[in-house]
Amino acid sequence: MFAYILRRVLTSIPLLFLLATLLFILIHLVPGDPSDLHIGDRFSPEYVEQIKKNMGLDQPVIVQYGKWLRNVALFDFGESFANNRTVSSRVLEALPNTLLLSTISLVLIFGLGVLMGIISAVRQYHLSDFILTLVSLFLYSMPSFWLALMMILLSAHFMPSWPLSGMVGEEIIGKLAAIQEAKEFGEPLTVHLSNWEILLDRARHLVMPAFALGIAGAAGVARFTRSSMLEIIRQDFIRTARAKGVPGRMVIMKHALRNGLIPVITLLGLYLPFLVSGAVLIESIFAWPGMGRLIVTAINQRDYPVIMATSLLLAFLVVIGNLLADILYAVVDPRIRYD
Amino acid sequence: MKILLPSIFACSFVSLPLLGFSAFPQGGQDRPHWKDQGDTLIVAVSGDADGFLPIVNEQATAGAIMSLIMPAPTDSAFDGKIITLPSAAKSWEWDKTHTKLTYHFRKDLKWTDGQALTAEDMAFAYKLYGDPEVASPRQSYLERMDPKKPFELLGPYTIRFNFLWPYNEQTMMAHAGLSLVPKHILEKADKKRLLYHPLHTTKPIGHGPFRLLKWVHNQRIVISRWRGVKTTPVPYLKRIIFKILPEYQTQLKELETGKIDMMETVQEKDLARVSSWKNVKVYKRGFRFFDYLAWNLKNPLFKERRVRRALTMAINIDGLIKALLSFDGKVYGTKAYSTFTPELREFYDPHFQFLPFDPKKAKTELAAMGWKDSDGDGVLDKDGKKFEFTLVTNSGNPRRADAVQIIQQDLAKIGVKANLESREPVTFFADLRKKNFEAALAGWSAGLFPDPSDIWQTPDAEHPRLFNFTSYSNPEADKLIDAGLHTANPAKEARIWRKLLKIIYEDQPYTFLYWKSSHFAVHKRFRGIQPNVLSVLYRVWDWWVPKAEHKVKY
Amino acid sequence: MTESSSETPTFLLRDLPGLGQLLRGPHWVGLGLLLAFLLPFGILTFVPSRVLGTFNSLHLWGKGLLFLFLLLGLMGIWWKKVGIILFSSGIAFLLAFLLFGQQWFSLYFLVLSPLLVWRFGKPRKEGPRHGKSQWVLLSERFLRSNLAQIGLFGVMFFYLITFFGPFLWPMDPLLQVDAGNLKLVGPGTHGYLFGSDQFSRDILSRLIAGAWISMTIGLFAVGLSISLGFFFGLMAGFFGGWVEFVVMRLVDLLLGIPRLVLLLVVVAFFKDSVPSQYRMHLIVVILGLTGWMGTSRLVRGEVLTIKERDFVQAGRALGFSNLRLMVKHIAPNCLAPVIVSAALGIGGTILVEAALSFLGLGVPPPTPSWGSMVADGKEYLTKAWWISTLSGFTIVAAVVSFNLLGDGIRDALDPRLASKRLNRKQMDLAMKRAAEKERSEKEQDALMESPSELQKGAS
Repeated sequence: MFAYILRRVLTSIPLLFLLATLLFILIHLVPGDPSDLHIGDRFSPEYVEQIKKNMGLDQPVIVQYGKWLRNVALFDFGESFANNRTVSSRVLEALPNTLLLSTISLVLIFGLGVLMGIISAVRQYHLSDFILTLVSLFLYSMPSFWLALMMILLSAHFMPSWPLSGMVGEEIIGKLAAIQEAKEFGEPLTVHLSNWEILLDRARHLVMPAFALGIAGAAGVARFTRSSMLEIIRQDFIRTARAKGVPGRMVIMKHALRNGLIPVITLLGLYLPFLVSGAVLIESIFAWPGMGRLIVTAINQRDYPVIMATSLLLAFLVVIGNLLADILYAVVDPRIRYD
Repeated sequence: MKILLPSIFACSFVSLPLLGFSAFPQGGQDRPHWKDQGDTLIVAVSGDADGFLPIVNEQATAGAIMSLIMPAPTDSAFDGKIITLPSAAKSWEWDKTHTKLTYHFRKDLKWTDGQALTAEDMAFAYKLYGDPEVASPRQSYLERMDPKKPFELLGPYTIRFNFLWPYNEQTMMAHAGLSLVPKHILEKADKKRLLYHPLHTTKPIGHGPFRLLKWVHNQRIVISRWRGVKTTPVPYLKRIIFKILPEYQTQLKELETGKIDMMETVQEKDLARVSSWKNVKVYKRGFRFFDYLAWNLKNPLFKERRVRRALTMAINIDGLIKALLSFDGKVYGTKAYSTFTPELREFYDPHFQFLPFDPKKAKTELAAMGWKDSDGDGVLDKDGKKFEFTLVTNSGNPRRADAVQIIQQDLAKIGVKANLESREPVTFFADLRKKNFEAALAGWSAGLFPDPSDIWQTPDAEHPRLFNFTSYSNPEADKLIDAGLHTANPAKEARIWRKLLKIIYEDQPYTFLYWKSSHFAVHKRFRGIQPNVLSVLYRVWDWWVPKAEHKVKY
Repeated sequence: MTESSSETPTFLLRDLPGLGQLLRGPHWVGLGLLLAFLLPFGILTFVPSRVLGTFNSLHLWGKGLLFLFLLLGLMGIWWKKVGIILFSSGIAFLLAFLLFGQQWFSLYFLVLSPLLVWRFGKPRKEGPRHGKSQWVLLSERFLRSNLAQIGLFGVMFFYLITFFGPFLWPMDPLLQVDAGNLKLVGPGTHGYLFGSDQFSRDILSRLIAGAWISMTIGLFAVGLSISLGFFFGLMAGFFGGWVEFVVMRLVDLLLGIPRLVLLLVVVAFFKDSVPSQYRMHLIVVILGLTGWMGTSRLVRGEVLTIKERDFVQAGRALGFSNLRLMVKHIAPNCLAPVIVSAALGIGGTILVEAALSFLGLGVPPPTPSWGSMVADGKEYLTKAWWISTLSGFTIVAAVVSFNLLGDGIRDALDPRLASKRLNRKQMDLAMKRAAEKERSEKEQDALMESPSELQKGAS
């Protein structure tokens, strides 16, 4: 087992190296020049040259490549072209927000999805199965950005004061500012802010994006769980258990679920990169300041260092995710041997 | 403050350096009682700021905030033209030749960190603006100053700028009126890396009515009033929160539900609705933005002036205004004939003779030039070449995206085929500069200083004329521009510019489309708002909310 | 399935394809066939001028090739050769996509569709139980499910819309009727069934026209990725060794880059260097090149198991060449799961294309596409809800159809998962059939005449 894990980890390293190279090639194939970004009023060619030099774009590609590999190894992605801050600081700033949103929606995806899947598998041929299957089919076939728009449209009618953007409410922002003013500028302090208030506010802001993000995924997981459970339920050992007189609920809980969820666990590993990238469109629509929005703005601004760092981070997570899924699979399913 | 790259030129040219401050409120308005101080203004902005150091700042949102933190040495007002008012520089005088401008600074000013503010800070700032190693986007402001000695420090509170020749007084004062920076902090900084200096990225130090409290990237920027401010009155509003909301629809919704107090731009299609909301008031800012169709004169299709005039006659500009800028019975635009905004009253001719909308004549004109539909496919051709070109515009601007589609239809009716393409703003603007386009729909936000040289003058070795996208070149126009930029006599200047605009319009390097008035909306509880073409947050320190209506009490 | 036991079919039931199925089941398929048969006649009756105008606007080359491919298709129909029909219409579709455009193919399909349905679409007589090919069994199992039928109908419907679009839309989808006065007009007013957009263009017409983008991009992108995936998977599975190592590492590598981000980067960066009329092709190529990895894994897995089967071993023993083994014996047997992943893949691709269009990275305006219509409507969400809402519903309907189709085929392939319970009679029948199938399989394996059941069905 340990040897297997070690081998998988070691083979991942050249893979990451190749990915880094591939990304470098891909991004340098692209026509256009990041110095186009710096458009002030009345710039001169010398100004553009100077900017290029400051960014290190005047060096030969091979030198840039060498630097890129070294920096990747050191986790140093340099400075963002677009707003003169380090890439890592921008990524680190966006990452927690995305992790929060996607963890919540991941819980939604798997919690709701597995539940729906089990129900419809156990109640196969019943009305509830039919309805659940149909509903999950529709949700699964729905573009998430459209769902988000429809949610905005509906909420405008039914709950106009529900927050639709950002992650902090105006009241909290104001109170935080008042507290900071009191601390830094000596203004009189007239306000109190409890952690509970902050938490509640955050939760309110999470509802819409997490739902828009999670619902399609939940439908997918439900479909997957259903078919994987059905496959198990039809197998001999379940029939044997039933024949032996084990009560139905027990069969489902103890035997079918344990085996039926193994493929679902694999799926969990595959969802790891989703934690970081899943919300590209949703984050933009709900103004959630996370990785997805960072990626989209970076692409629009041709902010190469940010694009490269974020894509590499995502690729990294995919590799880790696959690895983790395999290991989990090996741990959960004793039938699989790895030598 | 919406980031429209093609508009940046004029945005930063005007609103940043000149949005200064004055202790003299306009219009004889009585200032309300101090007991009404307090409350918070929440403004929605569509993009994050880049940084607050005036020397390297490029982006408009940041520029507007910067002008509240690190204002320019003089203040300005607008009444048909820019009027310069005293601020940190309490007075100034010109010499007889009208080339030497001397500022006298107030002696009681301090930076927020307690250090004294003197003319030395200004001298230091201009040293940085002019330094090629710094690569400031405002380097060109020193272009018409004596290269050997652009400025001289005559004492701790006196500084003199030396110009090469006299020209429009307001423009000269703008060139010598860029924001100050604290010398005592930047002195030791690495000149090449000012972009990464904390003064730019995290902790700006200024002397304006507000100071930066908190900047959470991609979320919000909070500025709080500074009670120690001397160049303006202490603001009534306790703080201003700039909330970053990229989606226009979300901004609109949050304005309606009272989550934000102010939107910088309300699109024309929503004006009637927003005006009908009980808690919101809409203000009109005047004509600052116009759209145009640029023809690349290097392209054989558009080389002939007659062809360009015919194309203009084929486009129903009034119809365009009706489709794009009139909603619910109101029209929010006017036809454009030049790059000078109608707000500059000295140069604007309300009775201008436009080319008529006359597709039939356009067709006969083109036929006279040899463009006929000989193969019956609906597209004109000449010597086996079809009248077909690509019309590009920038993505992310729904109005322009809509405009090109209507223009495409108009042109199709006379047998001219325009293929549409939308490019992302960065590429679009770069392509315009490189003249890598056939026809383009773009826009300018108009400068309030008359200087057509960058757009219309023939490029030469010294002046690349980067905004002359169309490669326009007319010796007569060149001569007029030179003359206009070398006179300080307003009447003569006005004569020259009116003549120039007429010549350029006859040549039609652009098909000038329309000026659109811009509107902003603010919650009704805010009083003392003076809508102004200079800036949306014009004299925000005079804004106030009656005590009883305060929404934010902390 | 079809219990076509009526002794004396009426004239209509005999000669109107689809009607029999519509009345006696499978109903949905009947409806689809009827539509495919009747629509061309309707078009020729009501808008003959549009058909004629379209034909006249073709260039000489277009007309010539149209006749050539029609002739080829008609020959295929006459001799009931599915291969010829598929070849003719496939190449014609490709030509339309690359060169001639939607109008050209709609003319081609206008002639072919009714003939095709007339020749193949009549209710099949209940044949002998013996010798039913796997394909027939598959289709019988498939049609047993109502949902699967609806999926098939949906896919047929959307492709009919796509192919007949230029004759169906009530207004020119690019026509701005009166941008000043009729913009953003609500559904059902001023002759706009689905309302108008900000240019007074008809939303319904634009939705119909947008089908061309979504459906062709879906089909060709998935076609490309499936072919690539099939090829690489077959190679890796059959040859093993270093081929397998290289291919599978390549797959790992490419799967390592998140697809949406990859797409965003590639499309955003390359779209400016491609002329706008080829943007659609660029998207197909990019979607195709980034989507083949899953299929290749699937195919490799299938090949690995089939390789060990007796008939392949026997083939090897008889000294068949690698090529013959691969093409004639292995490939047809791993076709089925690939078809499932293709059907599901088209649905997924439509979603991805919509997302790209939504971000403004799709086909440039004024060409309508569903995703960009949702994005357009976003600007007017509160003022004109119908633009985004109706375009979104269209996307959902199309994707649901493909997913139902894919699910249906998958269930049909794997009877254990069939979503409808069999009654006792059917169960007996099924068991009998299974036994027969097993026997015939054994016979076939032994005889080595036609080792692949699926191949038999295809010919």
